[in-house]
Amino acid sequence: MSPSKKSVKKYTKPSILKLGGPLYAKHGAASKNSVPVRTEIGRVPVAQLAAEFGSPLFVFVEDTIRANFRSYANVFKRLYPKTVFGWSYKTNYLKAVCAIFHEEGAIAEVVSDFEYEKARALGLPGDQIIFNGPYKPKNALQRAIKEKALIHIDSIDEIFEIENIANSLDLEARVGLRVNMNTGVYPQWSRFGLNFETGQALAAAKQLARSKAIKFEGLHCHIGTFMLSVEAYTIAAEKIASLFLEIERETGITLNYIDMGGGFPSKNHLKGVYQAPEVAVPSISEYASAITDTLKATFSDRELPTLILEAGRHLIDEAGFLITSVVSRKLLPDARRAYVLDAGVNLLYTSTWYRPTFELDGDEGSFLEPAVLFGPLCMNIDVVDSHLMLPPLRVGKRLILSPVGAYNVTQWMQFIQYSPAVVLVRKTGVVDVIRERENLAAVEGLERLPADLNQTEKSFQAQKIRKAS
Amino acid sequence: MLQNRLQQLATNDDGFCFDPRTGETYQLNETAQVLLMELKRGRSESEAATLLAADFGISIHEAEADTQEFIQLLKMNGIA
Repeated sequence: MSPSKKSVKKYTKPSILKLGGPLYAKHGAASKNSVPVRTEIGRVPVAQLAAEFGSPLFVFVEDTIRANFRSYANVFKRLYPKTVFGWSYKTNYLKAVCAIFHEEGAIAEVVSDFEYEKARALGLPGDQIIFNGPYKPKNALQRAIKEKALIHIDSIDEIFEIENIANSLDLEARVGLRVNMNTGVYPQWSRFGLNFETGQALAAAKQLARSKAIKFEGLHCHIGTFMLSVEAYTIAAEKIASLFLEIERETGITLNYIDMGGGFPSKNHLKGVYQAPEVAVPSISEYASAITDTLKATFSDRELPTLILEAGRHLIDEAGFLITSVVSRKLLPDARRAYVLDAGVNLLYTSTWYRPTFELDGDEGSFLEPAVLFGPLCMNIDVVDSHLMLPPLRVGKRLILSPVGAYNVTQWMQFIQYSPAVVLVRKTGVVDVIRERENLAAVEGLERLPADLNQTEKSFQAQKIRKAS
Repeated sequence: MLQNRLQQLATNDDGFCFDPRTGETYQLNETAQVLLMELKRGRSESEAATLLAADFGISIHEAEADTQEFIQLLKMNGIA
């Protein structure tokens, strides 16, 4: 090595790794793996995205959103033409994302007055909205009844509430009944709707059928989230279909739909699941067959009910990426390498349960060492990942995390740091900002400072002088 | 002192390193191999950093920080 000789050699941070059992390959050398590299998202260079819109940055790809929806919808439509698709707002209610799903033909599935207002503000008519959730404020129910939204009943109290509102408006409320049940999956989701096995759902259905203020149209269930068991959907479809027929038989009314909810997994890695998502996650065709075969068998001698679905995660997770950068590095006392990133658990709510794939924006070689990724929060809990094998990284190196399209941009926290911009890579390759990076005015917009506490810089200076004298 | 200790290490061209004093084995990446070679030759921390900066075209600030950190790693692993 000579100081006078200029070199173009790629620089990698120096590192030494103590070799132990797990790090040996079968031939005795240190295991040589590499971290996957991603240089583009939706055909746009990662470097360009970060340079133009900053880091951290959430990136969604329109082509992937549309392709995911079409492939899922085609599978169900082919097996069961009478299928209606709802888009689960809570999974990602950015306006641009919802608008794409509506353009693809999805109606809205909302779970609060806020989400209801968002759907209406996007121009969706009330009768294209399914209103779910355990708490629907009175004014939201009034609006939903007036606008002929389909309201899914969560409790007996809600039946009374809806009857009262409908009577006062002299209108008929369109409702369905949410049913929970044992599908052999633990934990059983029993807190939403009324239970099948105990007869509560049937009793509530009879109450709905008797009501003059209510138009009882169908049944709804949603058996869980990231459901890896196809069999659970067969059981759910059998139970809800049998309840459907029993209600019709006992009350004489005609129901017209069964809403099987969502819960279909994405290709994310659920913590605690040993197998890779490609192996552990069944295909959407398997779920579709389980549901539609059961319905077709149960309703073989009569007209099929409409099937409604409310998928979220399965449709959007893989369309979302998070670009984050190394802002500093250090050695922990146990000689592990630690990196501080500009994105942490404030942006990655789902990292509690899921482990995304970590990719680098360029090849850094195959010398991998144990690394811990910390977020930017001044909080000890802000650990993005504590068991990664990474090559030594320099400050400024970018990591790309995916899939992160589901729930993160709705459940992220406004805490310590500004939330980053969110961009959408369009079909044309153009990149549109669909949510600006937060700023002080946006974060403090709803705060009010009492006049007597509103001290100017001048008054702080005067206070300082008074103290000094 | 550091030089004497490092000279006891046996290394090969692939970055494999054996410490006969403890029986431990290590793997060095390419930059670490270069640094270790210079330190074994008796270069000071500052001289090694200057060479690193020149050889890889990085800032002296980064080279110094990385050299310091590498020596820290050697200490944490019981080598230096």
